[in-house]
Amino acid sequence: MNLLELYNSRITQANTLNEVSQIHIAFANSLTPTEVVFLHGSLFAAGKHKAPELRPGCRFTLPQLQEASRLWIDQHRAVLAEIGKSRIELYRRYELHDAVVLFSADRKAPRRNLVISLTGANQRLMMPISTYLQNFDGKTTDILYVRDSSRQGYRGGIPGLADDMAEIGPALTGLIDAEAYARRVSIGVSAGGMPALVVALRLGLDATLVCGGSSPERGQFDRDGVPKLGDRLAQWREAAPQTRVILGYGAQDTTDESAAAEIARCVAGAEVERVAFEGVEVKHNFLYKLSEAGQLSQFVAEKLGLTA
Amino acid sequence: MTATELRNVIADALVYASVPGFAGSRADSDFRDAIRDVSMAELQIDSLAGMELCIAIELNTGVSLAPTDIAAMPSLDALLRRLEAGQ
Repeated sequence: MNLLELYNSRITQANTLNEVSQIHIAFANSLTPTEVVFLHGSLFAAGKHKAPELRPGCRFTLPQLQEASRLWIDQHRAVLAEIGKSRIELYRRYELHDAVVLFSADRKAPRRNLVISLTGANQRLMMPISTYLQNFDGKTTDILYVRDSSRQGYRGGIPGLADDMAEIGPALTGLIDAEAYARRVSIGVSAGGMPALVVALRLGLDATLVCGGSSPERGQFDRDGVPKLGDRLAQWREAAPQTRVILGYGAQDTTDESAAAEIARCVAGAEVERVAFEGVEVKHNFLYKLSEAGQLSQFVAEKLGLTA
Repeated sequence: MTATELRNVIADALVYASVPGFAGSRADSDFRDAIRDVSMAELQIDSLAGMELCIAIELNTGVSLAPTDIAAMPSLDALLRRLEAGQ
């Protein structure tokens, strides 16, 4: 079954336009840049696309479906273009676990950089995965996409992989040979911010970028019988002093700003990074703002020291 | 559904949609307890969150809304009234 057939087969299961949206969200969380380009080119191409049979009794019409589909795929294609690259990054998808996917241009020949990327509670990295991938160089960089399928902010680890946030990093090394990469870093957004920091310190990664991460001082990470996260961070930091820690926040997000300051108090040497654009409100989703501005590639390469 | 149940459906939907800073916040508890209304301007509902909000509301109430409908509402109480009328 090719991608277009898969798309149509899913769409025929939908009863409402909101269910169509749900299918679109699931696709957005898995499609690579090349798949977006393929789907954009084939979904409404004359002679190629056969409109799906709608489910009997469904609460939308074919023109409504086509409008929703066109809007969705056009937006995805447009945000890829906003990044400003002339080429499309040739990532392929390798599912290593229900919650862990390796995006690599060639899995058999690991690239120089590994970017462990932990999503927020909505299973995304502030943008569709295709947009995120397009911001990296597929010739040099592999992306390990990690999500918490329970949507509990990784507080109980990741179902089927690790029972505690502290065990996520060691569990990931059972899925991928991280030592094969010259530079190993992590990025975490929102609920994925704190676990990205923990993974980086536990594995002694080269660097980590925490985007709008939650504070360890506000109680949501407290668990019975486990030392406070802030104290554990300080201990892990002592064992990983070489890891560059960057705590990013959007200039107009006061909650994230104070959370970054609170995390910094627990992690010696952590750098707090304010992301601002003149005339533009930058809040929790600052990574996406950087991507829209065509600046995310350079930002992550500089902050995390990704090498060509 | 009662108004209290609908309030919880809306708040749970906002948590499901990962609206930044909402889960466990003062706005979350105040809205559930009908202490005060929460304006949409207080909430960072982006396009994805808007879709997920509509999905969760539809699943739990059967009322179909579009993200543009919610974006046009001034507050969560307005959304509550729309759901009460739509049942």
